[in-house]
Amino acid sequence: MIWLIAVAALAVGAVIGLAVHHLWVRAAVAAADPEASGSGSVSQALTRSRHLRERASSERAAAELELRRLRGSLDELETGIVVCDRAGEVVARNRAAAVFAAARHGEALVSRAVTELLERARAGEAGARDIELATHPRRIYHVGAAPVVEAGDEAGPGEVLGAVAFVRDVTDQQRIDEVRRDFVANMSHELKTPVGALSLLAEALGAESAADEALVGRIREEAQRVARTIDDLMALSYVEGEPPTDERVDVGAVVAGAVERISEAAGQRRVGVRVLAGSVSIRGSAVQLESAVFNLLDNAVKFSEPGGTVELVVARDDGGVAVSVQDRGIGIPRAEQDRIFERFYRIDKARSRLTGGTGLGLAIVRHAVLNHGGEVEVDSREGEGSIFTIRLPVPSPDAEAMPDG
Amino acid sequence: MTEETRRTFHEDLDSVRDQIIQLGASATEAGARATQALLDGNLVAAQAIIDGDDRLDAAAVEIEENCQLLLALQQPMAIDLRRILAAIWITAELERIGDLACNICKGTRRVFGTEFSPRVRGLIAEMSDEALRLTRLGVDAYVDEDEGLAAALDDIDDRLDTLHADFVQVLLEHRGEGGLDLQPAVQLALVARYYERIGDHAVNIGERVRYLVTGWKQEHAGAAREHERLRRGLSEDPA
Repeated sequence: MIWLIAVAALAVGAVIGLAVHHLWVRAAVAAADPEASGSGSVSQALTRSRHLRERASSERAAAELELRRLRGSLDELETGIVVCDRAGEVVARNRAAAVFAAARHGEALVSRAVTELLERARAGEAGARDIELATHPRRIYHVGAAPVVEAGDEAGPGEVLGAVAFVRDVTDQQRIDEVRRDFVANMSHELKTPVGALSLLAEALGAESAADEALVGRIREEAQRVARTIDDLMALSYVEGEPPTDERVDVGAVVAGAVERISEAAGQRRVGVRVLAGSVSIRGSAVQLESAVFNLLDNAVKFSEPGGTVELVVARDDGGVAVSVQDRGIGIPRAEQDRIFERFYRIDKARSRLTGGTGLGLAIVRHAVLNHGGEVEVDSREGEGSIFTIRLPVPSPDAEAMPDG
Repeated sequence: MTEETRRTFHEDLDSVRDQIIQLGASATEAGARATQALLDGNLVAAQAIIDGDDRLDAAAVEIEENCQLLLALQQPMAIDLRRILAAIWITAELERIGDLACNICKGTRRVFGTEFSPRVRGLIAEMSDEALRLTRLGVDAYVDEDEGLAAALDDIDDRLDTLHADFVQVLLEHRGEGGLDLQPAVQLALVARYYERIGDHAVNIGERVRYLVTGWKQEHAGAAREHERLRRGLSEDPA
């Protein structure tokens, strides 16, 4: 009797157990795939879950392949790339960068710069520096880093994901720049003396007829034009080659100096120069800045109609100072505006010959302004005139108190 | 030590090694730049190298403190202990090499305006290359824990010693021909001595590496003789 009760109890227990198991599996499948809830047998549910697993694993494989392809592509780059996460742990380093990480000698300093710049980039501050190695063979590396930020949307800026650093070997590039600068500077010096002599000899040449006098006049004019080109070439190679001095510069005084220099030419062309300038101090080189402002004024005067006015305004704008020079001359075609800062670029060659331009003025302006961490922009419409604006950063009072910090 | 602490301990050791590599790179760079400043008579570059030495000093102090921390907290034994001791000593050697680069820069000031003959310039460049090559080999031996290379540094240094002797000879000849004043001649002889000292410090790095790998120091040979003498002295003592 007792064993009958025991068997019955076991059978009931088994049935309940099976039922519970069945329910549990259905619940599990329902949780994994909402579509499956309320329908299908255990075997269907198992098949579905296998499919889910397979899909997940094939997606994982595709993602891995994608990652490997990306890494492989980065390895092909000559630029070294190092990526770190938010905690500063390096998560990726391409082949070019691995060379520096494993370096034992001079190149180890590149690796140190990468670490330091990544550290700052993680805090949100992008930066760059050149590492010059004096040991043979001499090499110069440009190392930079920036925070990696997810693209933001209307809701706000994206999340900071980490930082990326890059290393480029700029040895050859710098050497070529150096050779070019030296060549221009040396050639200018070599040319200056004979051209000066030509000019003087033309002055001394006696003219016996009106035709002679016209020819001598032309010789003198052409010699002066070459002399101006050489002067501008030397000015350009100076602003390209020399970092600006770090002196306190009063923008008002710079402007006054440039206006003083242009006044004679403006008077000859009967062009008025109106100045609206206050006193703002920045740090840099007064010589370079005056040269920049002078060249803008020179262009403005040249391209103004006689009787016109050139306006120069110095104004504070956020965090900096803006010097703008406005003329009501012929203006610059929109298509040409991107190219006018290139050296020797002229919009109208015939006109440039007439005005005596060298094609170097705006190149000098751009280099001088870039040297000061600023920018120059142009706003112009044909037939209405142009406004050139130089924007220069003004050091904050704290930075001024501690120029080294 | 548990597996976990040992893992971080070895990571810490690796980071000390990386710091030493960077210190070595800074020191050899300073040396190469000092030579360039000397040959160019560039006082601005010389001053920049002297100013930059503070950074080397700071790096050396940091490495030493890291090593002391590891000694105090991990109490390493055997080769791990020797790794840390060697790191402390090698750091000091590299820091001294940086100081010698500064001395060369100071020499640049003292010989400013002196025209060097091509032979003098050539020998200065050669001594510099040789001294810095030795330093780099020392760092290589340390990173690879290469006892063979470490032991060879002393012999490799012979070439630098020969160059040094040649240089002094050339200076004396120039003096004899009236081509060089006494003051710059003396300064140049001192500068040559700085290069030679850089080589000696590189050889010392080799000795430290030998200790790291084998536990053997050059002083052990002398110490063993002294112990032997003492032992014999004691045994011959009638008392």
